[in-house]
Amino acid sequence: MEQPQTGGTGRTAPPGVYDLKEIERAICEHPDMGELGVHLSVHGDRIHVQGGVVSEAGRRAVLDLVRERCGTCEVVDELDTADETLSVPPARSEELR
Amino acid sequence: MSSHVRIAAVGDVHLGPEVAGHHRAGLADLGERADLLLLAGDLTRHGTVEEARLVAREYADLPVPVVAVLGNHDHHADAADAVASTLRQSGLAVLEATSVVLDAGGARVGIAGAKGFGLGFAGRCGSDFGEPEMKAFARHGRDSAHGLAAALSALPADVDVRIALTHYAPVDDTLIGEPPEIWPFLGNYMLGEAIDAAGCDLAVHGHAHAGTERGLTPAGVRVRNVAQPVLHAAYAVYELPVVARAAG
Repeated sequence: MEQPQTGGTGRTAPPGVYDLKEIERAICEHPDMGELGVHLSVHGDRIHVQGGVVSEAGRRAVLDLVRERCGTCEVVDELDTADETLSVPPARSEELR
Repeated sequence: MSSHVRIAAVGDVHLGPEVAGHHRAGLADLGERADLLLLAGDLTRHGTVEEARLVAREYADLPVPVVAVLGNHDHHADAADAVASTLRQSGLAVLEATSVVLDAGGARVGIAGAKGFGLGFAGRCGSDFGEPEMKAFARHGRDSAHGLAAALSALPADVDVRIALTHYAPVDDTLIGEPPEIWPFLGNYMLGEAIDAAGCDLAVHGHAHAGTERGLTPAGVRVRNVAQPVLHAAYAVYELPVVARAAG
């Protein structure tokens, strides 16, 4: 994906909607990732990365791929990682009457 | 006389090498909190036998019985049979259009399980029409529900508690929070129809990471989405009332 430069900022112009969908698909289908719950959107000249991934390693892999595909655009990490709560016992049970 | 059976449940743990052992740590006092553990699919990330071995170790030798279904991730490497076999060798019951009856918490607990599939929900679902690919999608969704119905029918009439375990959602209540555009890929109203027809006491599913924990079928069966990202915990526990059947 060729990255056009924005005037004087030193950053590349943000990718278009279809480019973002291609990146989402790459994240989903990448043999080392397989993350189906990542959503990308552009707001101003920043790319927001939202959704959930399995682990911190998954977060790093997703962000690396986004940065690789998006040139010098600013990438905002808003991902949640599931493994933060994987070891947390439930606070209470639910009684089903 | 009445008592409760305590059902622990979680899905979508997506175990891989980087998180192996993390869930096991959260199960340390499982035996004090629950009488059995249900795993609602997507136990692996890519459905490989290597990942299945990690899963098998994670849930081996727990103090309560473990019953699982597979999810779509567990099918990704086209090795679902080998994944299921690996888990069974470790003592897990793995259901696919099958059922099991366990003595747990002083009750006879019947569990029918199936992965399920997409199709959508009444009024906005796919149908068996058009291109072969569309028909195959719709048929797999319908067949998955028929498999669950058959498994529920196979449960003995005298079980104290009847539970349906799927990966895909049987109702759309528990999809609230997910983008509506993807709901037809998250579940299938015919699963809910099978659950209602069987008079289940509880239906448990995963798959909808951004969904909602609590829902109901049209007939009022409690549905719980136990996808781990929804629970924000190692598992949830549901206490189901058990009413002792009169002798004779």
